[in-house]
Order: sequence, then structure tokens, then C-alpha cells
Amino acid sequence: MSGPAGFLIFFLTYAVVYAILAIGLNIQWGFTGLVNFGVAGFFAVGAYVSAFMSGSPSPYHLGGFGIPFPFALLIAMVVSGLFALILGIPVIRLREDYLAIVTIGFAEIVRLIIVSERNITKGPYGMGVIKPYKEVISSPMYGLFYLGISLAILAILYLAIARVVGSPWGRVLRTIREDERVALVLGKNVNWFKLQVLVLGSMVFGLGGAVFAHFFNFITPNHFLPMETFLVWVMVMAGGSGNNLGVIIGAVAVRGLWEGMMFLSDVLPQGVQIGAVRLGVIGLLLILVIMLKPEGILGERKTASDIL
Amino acid sequence: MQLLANGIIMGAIISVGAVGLTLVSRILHFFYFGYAGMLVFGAYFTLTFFNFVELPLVVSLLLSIGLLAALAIAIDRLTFKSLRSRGTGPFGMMVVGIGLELLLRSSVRLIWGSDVMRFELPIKRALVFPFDVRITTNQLIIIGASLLLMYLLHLFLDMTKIGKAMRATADNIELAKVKGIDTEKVIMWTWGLAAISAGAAGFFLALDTRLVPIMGWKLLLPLFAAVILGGVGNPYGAVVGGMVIGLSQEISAGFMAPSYKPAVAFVIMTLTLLVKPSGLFGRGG
Amino acid sequence: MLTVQNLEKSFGGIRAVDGCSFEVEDETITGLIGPNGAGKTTVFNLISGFYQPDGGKILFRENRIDDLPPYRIPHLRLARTFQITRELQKMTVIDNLMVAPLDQMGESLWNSWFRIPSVKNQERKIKEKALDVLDFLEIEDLKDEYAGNLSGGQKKLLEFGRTMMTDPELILLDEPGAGINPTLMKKLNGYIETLRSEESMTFFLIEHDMDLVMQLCDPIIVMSEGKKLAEGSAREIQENEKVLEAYLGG
Repeated sequence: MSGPAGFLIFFLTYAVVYAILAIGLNIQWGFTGLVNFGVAGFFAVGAYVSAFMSGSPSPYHLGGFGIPFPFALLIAMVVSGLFALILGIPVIRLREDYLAIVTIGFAEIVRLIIVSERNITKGPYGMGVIKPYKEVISSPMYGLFYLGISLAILAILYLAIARVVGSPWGRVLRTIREDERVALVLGKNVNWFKLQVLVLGSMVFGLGGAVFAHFFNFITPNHFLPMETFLVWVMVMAGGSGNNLGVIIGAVAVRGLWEGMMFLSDVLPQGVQIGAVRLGVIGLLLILVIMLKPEGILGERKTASDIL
Repeated sequence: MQLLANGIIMGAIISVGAVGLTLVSRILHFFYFGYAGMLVFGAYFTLTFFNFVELPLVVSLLLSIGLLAALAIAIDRLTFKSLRSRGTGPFGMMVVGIGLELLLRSSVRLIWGSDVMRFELPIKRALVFPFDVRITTNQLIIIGASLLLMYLLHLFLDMTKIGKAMRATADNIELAKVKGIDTEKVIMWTWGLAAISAGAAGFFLALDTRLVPIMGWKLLLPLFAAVILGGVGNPYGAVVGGMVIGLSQEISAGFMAPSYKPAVAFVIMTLTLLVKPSGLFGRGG
Repeated sequence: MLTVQNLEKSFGGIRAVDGCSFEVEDETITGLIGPNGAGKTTVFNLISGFYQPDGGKILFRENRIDDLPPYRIPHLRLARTFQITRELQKMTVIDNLMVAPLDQMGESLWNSWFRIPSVKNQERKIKEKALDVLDFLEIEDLKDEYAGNLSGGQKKLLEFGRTMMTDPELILLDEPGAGINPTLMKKLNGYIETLRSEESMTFFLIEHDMDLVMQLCDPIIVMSEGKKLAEGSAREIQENEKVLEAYLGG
């Protein structure tokens, strides 16, 4: 499919990838108040790991294990989670502003490794990623098919996360967000819950990375710049922290804005780069969200636990 | 030996930049990512005055710092001032700071373009020192000027009334308020000092390498590492921290891929936070 | 029940707690009083694990607790409140209570995903208990209100109720009377008395309102400059010259 329909499918699939990332960050920031500025790092880990797993053997990069797509997704999630665990065990107890700097540094280092270790990742040249099930689906319909897969993954994720954030587990997370000291005097092992949240959220980022890699079919370190992290933050903060439906809407809206700015090129004077304008607009959004609407556009649901 | 020399040059640049960042971090009570934007603006302002207006280099730098201070104070008035009065916490401030970083970097790209730019200086050959150490005249200027600048900053912080007020505020904000120090005025001066620090560091970095809009962001991680290693709010600590980070980054290039330099800063910073969050010279937690 | 021996804690060279020793007996309402800066709240923070002591020991039911992290303390049935109430603002009153019980099954990710029936079962019991507590404190009608919207006195009651939800044997109350009106104060006194006599709970409370302390507490421990100055019944304390001196001189 090409033309407007093709573009719409492309846009929606892209938005689904970001909706997955936004749900991951919502678990961490929205429900728990855990600051993670390293979204792009886990996103990259998921993308590359799944690409190594599902691809066919290649002398130019790691992997090519030819593992079926669903398992490649799972492995990407597990590896992302392991990265989070290794990073989290020492740093989870740090104050939030230190944690912010450490996680942003972590994501930059993941990207540095991808750029530098060319034998594993092909470095800045980027590596191709297979289209799963392309032998069963005719190519004109493939985009729609993959959008379907992505939507199904998003739906499963949404339900799985809704179940736990609406449980006593999720209630502890909100308590930690509201007041860590209260969580402590109620006997909750705050750092242990935060570590679970860091790992779970980062597994979701890994999933997002895997879905992205197999959608875009080509990944380079430039897909995982710190900008991606802030894009997800805007989605979560504007959409309403602590509300998964809100952040999905946030993801679609911000993604729409991002793609929409492409049409500006007809209006803008010659030589103005869309990339620079996008950078500025996202920056402006971050500033405006904090200054005007710190609680996001959709608020949080009132009842913490809805298991009954 | 060459690595050592490179390390000293890099250390000087980081030290100069870290002094401003450490005071901003402490007195404004959050880690300001927009500082990266200040570095870049400082470098591009200087370049504009020098390359296009054809003013002498020192005059260009001074003008650039003046503009940068005005810009920083204007930004504070528009954003942080009202957030302060609303009691916004460090996290909200930090997010606004990140937004500003993106906005400033985007402005640089829109104003000056994304292509690499250089100072139009007559190219001189590197001077050869014992042990075959090569240092360019630009690099000698950087080292000399950093030393001079740090000495002047030391005099300012040590001798002037406002300098002392700044250090008192950095030491203990609540106590400073009780003592009747006008913290808003101190904040204005902090932005001024940050402009000097960021303007000079940005210029030095540009002189040593070249100008690209991303240069500020790339220096930010080593700068934060220097600030944390030296103890947040301690300008002398920041200088030492900057030297340590600069040296370790460059020396690591002797046995690791040079692209991993920022990773060295990151590891030092994280270890500091885990072992002694108050930094090398801090008192307790 | 609770034994404090030669407890020491300094902050930046200032000795906040300086060799303090005392004991809290089973089923008492023990008061802790003293002039400002005597180190009372620091003692509470040491007992509840928020600070590590520089020296000395804290024993609860003959077990040392001074090296435990704060979140372990409630599991020993030792609960506390804060001087300034810390309600979970953006959570409802009932959620504020329901989060409190220790070791809930549903607090594990695994159980929340895969063992829904048992989690639900326990959740029902917790809800019942929370409603009972709200009933006991006579604030049942507020159950779906955001805790942040409550009045100062209601927040005090909520925090008290939250503490009860953890089934404590000993409760540390940091200035329960601060900022509430006399009527509510009387009510709170009644709750404390009832819980002690009917549920065998022990209370250890810091209070500045002397009328309240003299009425409610026996024994009373007096702290001054980081040490225990005196201990005894209300009458003994009132007649103790050292205590008078500390209050007037301090």
C-alpha cells in the first residue's frame, strides 16, 4: 500500500511503538515517581537484541540466529530487563536528580557501544532487520499486517499492565510516589519495589525496541538519541502521568505533531531544517507542560486498586 | 606524555565550565541541562563577533559573555523565577532545563546552521616539546587563559561582597536567607558567573576543536561528572574534578577506543555517587 | 517491651541524643516530654530506623533493632506516626488505609498476575478492616475523598487509622495533639485509652500539651539535652525540681 493509506499505516505503527514506550515510562514515572532518563538506551537494547535474534547469519554483525519473531521479542525484553537490573542494583537508592543524570549517562553509553563495536552492530552504518512472516503475507498488505501485530502487542501489554497497576502492588507504587517515608513506615521495601519497576518498565522499553526494529527494518545508533527519551517524556507528561489510556493518546498526539511538522517544510523559508524545528518544539512542550499543566491533560483514575 | 598533555587541556576546559555549573546546580537547587545550550551559544556568539564582525578575539569573547549573561537572566525571568515562587521541585526545574537545552540547541541550528564552523585563525604548526609532545598555540592560549580566569574567579569569590554571599548561599541556602542575603540578587550574579564560565569553556572547546550545535551536550556529561566529583556547590572542587575527569578521559584513550571517553566520565561520576555523594571534598552525606 | 540503652546520635558535631536510656513497659501509655531541642524526635527517628545511632542499643522484645532498615521495623509490630501528618494526598482515604497492612499477597507482581482469586480474597478482608477502622474513628463518610482534601484534624485521624491497619503492638505517636481542636483531642484520647485496654496496645508518645500528657500518660519520661532527666508518674514529674529547672531554664 502506498500513498495516503500507506502513510497512515506507517504513522500509526510508529505511534504504537511510542505508545509502548510511553506505557513503560508510565509504570516508572507515572505510577511510581521513578525518574528514568535512559529510555532511549533500553529502547536500543531491545531493538538490537531482537535484530540479532531474528536475523539470518551475517559475517558483519552479531547473531543471525534465525529465532522466530515472538521469541526474539521475549529475549529482547529479558535482556533489557537484565540491563536494568545490573544498572538498578547499585543506583536505585540514589536521589531522583542524581538518578536522572545516571540514567541519561547510561543511555549515552549504550549508544556509544553501538557506535563503537562495529563487529557486533555494524556501528554507525546501521544494520538491516528482517520483516517477520513476510513469506506468508503479500507485500502490498504487509504494512497493514504488521500494524495489526503491533496493535495486538499493545493491547496485550495494556491489559497486563492494567492488571498489576490496579492491584495492591500498584497501590504500593502510588504510595512510594506520594511519600517514600510513608511507604517505609508501612513496612514496604521501597528500593525493592523501585527495582521491580525499573526492570519491568525497561522490559517494556525493550519490547518497544523490538517492535520498532522489525517495523523499520533498519536500525542505526541515530534512532536512539537522547531526543527519543524526551519525546517519550513529553508523551507521558502531557498525556497524564498515571493514566495508561492518557499516555497512549499522548503518544499518538505527539507523534502526530512530529510527523505533521514535516508539512511545515512547504511553509518555512528555504534552508530551515525540520530537525531543528522539531527539537525546539519538543523543548518548548517540555517547558510548557511543567509551567502550565504539571498534572497532564488527563488526570489519574481515583481508585488505586480496582481488583474487587 | 601526549595523552597527559591532551588531558591537561581537556581538564582545563572542563574545569572552567564546571565552576559555573556547580554554582548554578547548588544555588538554584537543580541540575541545569540548559547549561549545554549556554556553552554552545557562548562559542557561536564569539565566533560571530570574531569571524563576521572581525573584532579582536578577546573583545569578541567579552561581548559574547555579556550577551550570554543577558540571555541567561532573561531565561531565568521567563521560566525559573515563577517556578521558584511556586515552589516547583528540582525535578520540574530539571525538565524545564532539558526543554531549554533542546530549544537553545534548535535555535543555534536555525541561526547558524548545522554545518561545522571554525575560528578563522592563521594556522600555526604545533610546537614540539620534550618527549615529542605536540601542543598548538591555541592550546597554550587555552591553558593560560583558564589559569587566569580561574584566578580571577577565585578573587571574585573570595574578595567581593557578592562573591562571598554566593559562597555562603552555596554552602547553606537556608542559613544565607536567615542572614539576610538577598537570594534573588545572588541568583542573578550566579547567572552572570555561569555566563563567564560557560562562555569561556564553550569558546575554548571551539578553539581546540570546532563548532557544532551538539558540542555543548557532549561536554555536559563530563561537566556533571566534574561537578559531582568535586562536590556540588564547591567551585574549587569543580576545578579539581574537571582536571581529574579531563585527564582520565584522555589517558583512557591510551588503552581504549577514544569514543569511550564519555563512558570514563560516567563511570567516575556513578562511583562517586555510590561511594561519597558529597564528592571529594564534601563533609558527610 | 522497648529498651533504649546509652543511645547516641550527633549531627555535624551537635549531640542531639547523648547517652539516653529508658524503657517502655507493656500496655502502658508512656509519655516523652522535654524542652525544644531535647532530642525527642531524634529518638523516634532512631527507633523507627530512619537514623542509624552512633552508639548504644535499641531493643524491642529483647531483640536488637538499631541496625534494621526502616521498612523492617513495622514488621516487628512497631509502628509510628509523624509530627506533621503525611497523608498520601492523591489517593483516597480508603486507599490510604488499604495500602497499610503488612505482607499483602497482592503486593507481589506474580500474584497480581496469576493468583487473582486469592489476592481478591485477601483484598476483601483488608477492605472490611479498613471500613472498620474508619467506623471506629467515625470518618466513614470520607472514604472516597482524596486524602489531600481532608482537614488537619481528619488527617491526624487518618494517619492514626493507617497505623492501626498494620496491627501494631507498640505505636510511637509524634505529637498527636499538635494542630487539632480540643474536642477532637478528647476523642483521640478516648481511642488511645480504648486500644490500650481492649486491644492491649502500648503507646509511646511525644507531646507538648502538658494537660494531655498529665491526663493520659503513665509513666512520663523527661528528656533534656539528649539525656533522660527524669521518669515517673504525672505527679512525680510535676514535683521534680530538675524538670522544672529544665523547662524554665531552657
